[in-house]
Amino acid sequence: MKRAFLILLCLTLLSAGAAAESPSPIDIDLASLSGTVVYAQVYDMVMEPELYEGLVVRMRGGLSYFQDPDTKQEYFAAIIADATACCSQGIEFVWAGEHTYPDDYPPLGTEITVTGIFGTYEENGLTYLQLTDAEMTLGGE
Amino acid sequence: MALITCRDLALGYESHAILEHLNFSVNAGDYLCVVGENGSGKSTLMRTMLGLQKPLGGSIAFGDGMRPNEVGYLPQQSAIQKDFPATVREIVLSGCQAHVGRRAFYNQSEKALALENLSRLGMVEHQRRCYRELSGGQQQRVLLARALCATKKLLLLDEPVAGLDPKVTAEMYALIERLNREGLTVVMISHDIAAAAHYATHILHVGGDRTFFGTVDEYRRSAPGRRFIALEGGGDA
Amino acid sequence: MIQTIQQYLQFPFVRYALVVGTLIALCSSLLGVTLVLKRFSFIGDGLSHVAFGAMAIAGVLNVTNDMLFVMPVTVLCAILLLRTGKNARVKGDAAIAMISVGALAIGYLLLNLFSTSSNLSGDVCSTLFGSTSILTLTKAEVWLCAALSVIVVALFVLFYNKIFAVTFDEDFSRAVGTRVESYNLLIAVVIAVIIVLAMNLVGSLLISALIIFPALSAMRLFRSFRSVTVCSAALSVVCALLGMLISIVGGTPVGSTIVAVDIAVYFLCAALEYFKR
Repeated sequence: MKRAFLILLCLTLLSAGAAAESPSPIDIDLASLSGTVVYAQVYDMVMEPELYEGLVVRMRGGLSYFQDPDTKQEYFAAIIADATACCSQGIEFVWAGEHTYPDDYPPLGTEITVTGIFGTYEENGLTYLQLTDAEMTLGGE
Repeated sequence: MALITCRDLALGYESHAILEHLNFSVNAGDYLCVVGENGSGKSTLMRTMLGLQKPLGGSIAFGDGMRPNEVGYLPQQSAIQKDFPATVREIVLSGCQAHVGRRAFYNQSEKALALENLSRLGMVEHQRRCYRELSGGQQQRVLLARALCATKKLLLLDEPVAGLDPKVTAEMYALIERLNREGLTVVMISHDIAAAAHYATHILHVGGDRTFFGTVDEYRRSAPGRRFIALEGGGDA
Repeated sequence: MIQTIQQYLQFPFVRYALVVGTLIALCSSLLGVTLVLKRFSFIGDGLSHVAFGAMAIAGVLNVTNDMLFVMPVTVLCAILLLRTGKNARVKGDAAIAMISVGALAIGYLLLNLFSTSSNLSGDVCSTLFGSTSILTLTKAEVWLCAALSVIVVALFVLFYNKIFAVTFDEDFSRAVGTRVESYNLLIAVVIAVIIVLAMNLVGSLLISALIIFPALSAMRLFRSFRSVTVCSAALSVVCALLGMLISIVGGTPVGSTIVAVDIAVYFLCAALEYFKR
């Protein structure tokens, strides 16, 4: 039992840095949560997006890029791996302002922090999640 | 009417008969020893009398107001029990399980019965101890107390002294003899012909070329009895 | 530390996970003693693999609520295993081994061939190791888990004395007229239910650990069946809560963290026993 408490204590100290206070307008700060909870939170957002519509979400993850070969439409996302490292969840984002890929973006896989407004949109009959009007900064702050 | 009457009983597993044409009866107050070599079917006979397996043929009738589930059974110890975390009291109380019926828990009179049987066997001061920490003789007393909770009439004992040292064995035999004198009918499987001839009123000898059933005196005079006593009992019979 | 935990407790799914996880841990520990002593440990292990196979089929069939499909299949297999264990040509151990690895292989094969999911390895991984399943339960699953846990605990309390008697000495119980077969059946069905529930908490590969470790730890410390049962339930709940909190705060996988805590507690109990002597 004692050993487990020690582990718990160490883990808490480690995560204390990440849990530092963030500016108030952020409603859901995925960047301050542990991997396990981030995964569950994103899962919940996927399952019940209507609960989160319009909220300001901040998240941290690896930059990912996809271009639809037919429509030439470009998609950007931040990808988070869960604790078991087998399930990854990503949320697409739209960077506010005029930016072109690849010139203005960091290399793929770079850790970025994205803050944007949570919303959904329909495409080909499927619902997708997206952070719009997003700010993107490099690294984990 | 006898407590148990077996007529033309055939025993065994899956149509392979170990024993056939078994006829004997046990009356109230009897002390019957079942003797015979290893593998002769003594334990199978006891399991059949307990209803744990079906006879291949013949019948077992319970009489004298005796019901099949009013039997106090002392089995041989199993491997599971060797390291079982249970107190003496918990085990003895489980002897009352037939009285509980649909109730979930034991009531006051059942708890009193368990205590009474513990004191009858001189085990009251050990009631909170763990079964696996007791000596072999004490463990047998616990299982005997449990059997006493299940019956007021008939004890079926399967090699009750197996693995006990000579002193404890003698104590165990004395204990069983006392219970028999207090009115309990005893059926005991035994290897020990000398003890059987000393304590029992009747002998059932199974296996070999022929089966014998009768009183101890008749057994001493019979052919299988003489041969078996000479073979196993040695000089002290 | 308290603050961090409080921050996480604001998430409803974290609260659900803690409640359901505690209930599941409580149930799974209750029959652990019986399982260990009756040498049924392997049945638990075999059934958990069956549950994996059933889960795979449920995934292929696109069943909306997995548990409603997996539960009956696992219960059925529990009954079959118990029956064949007695008098079959294949020996009990071998039968269980066959069913368990068979279900594992067929389950994975089916998933690979027919799964419509985009994240196959993710599905397999979360079924085998639980990953974050306990944190991603739907409301319906939360209620189902809670209700089943309560039923399991109630059944155990109600039949506690009979379960003890049957575990300690089947032959004696049978001789005095206790319906041993019915209670064995009850035990097998309850084990199946517990396994399906526990899949959400630790995944199918780690279920045996959740069932057996608290019982083994308690058997190190206590001498009566009742205190062993109570202690094993308490240890299981504490370990599960601690494991879940560690994994939530530290971002470690839920199932393996709980089992790691269980293992640590086992060695602690073994040490305590050693020093007591």
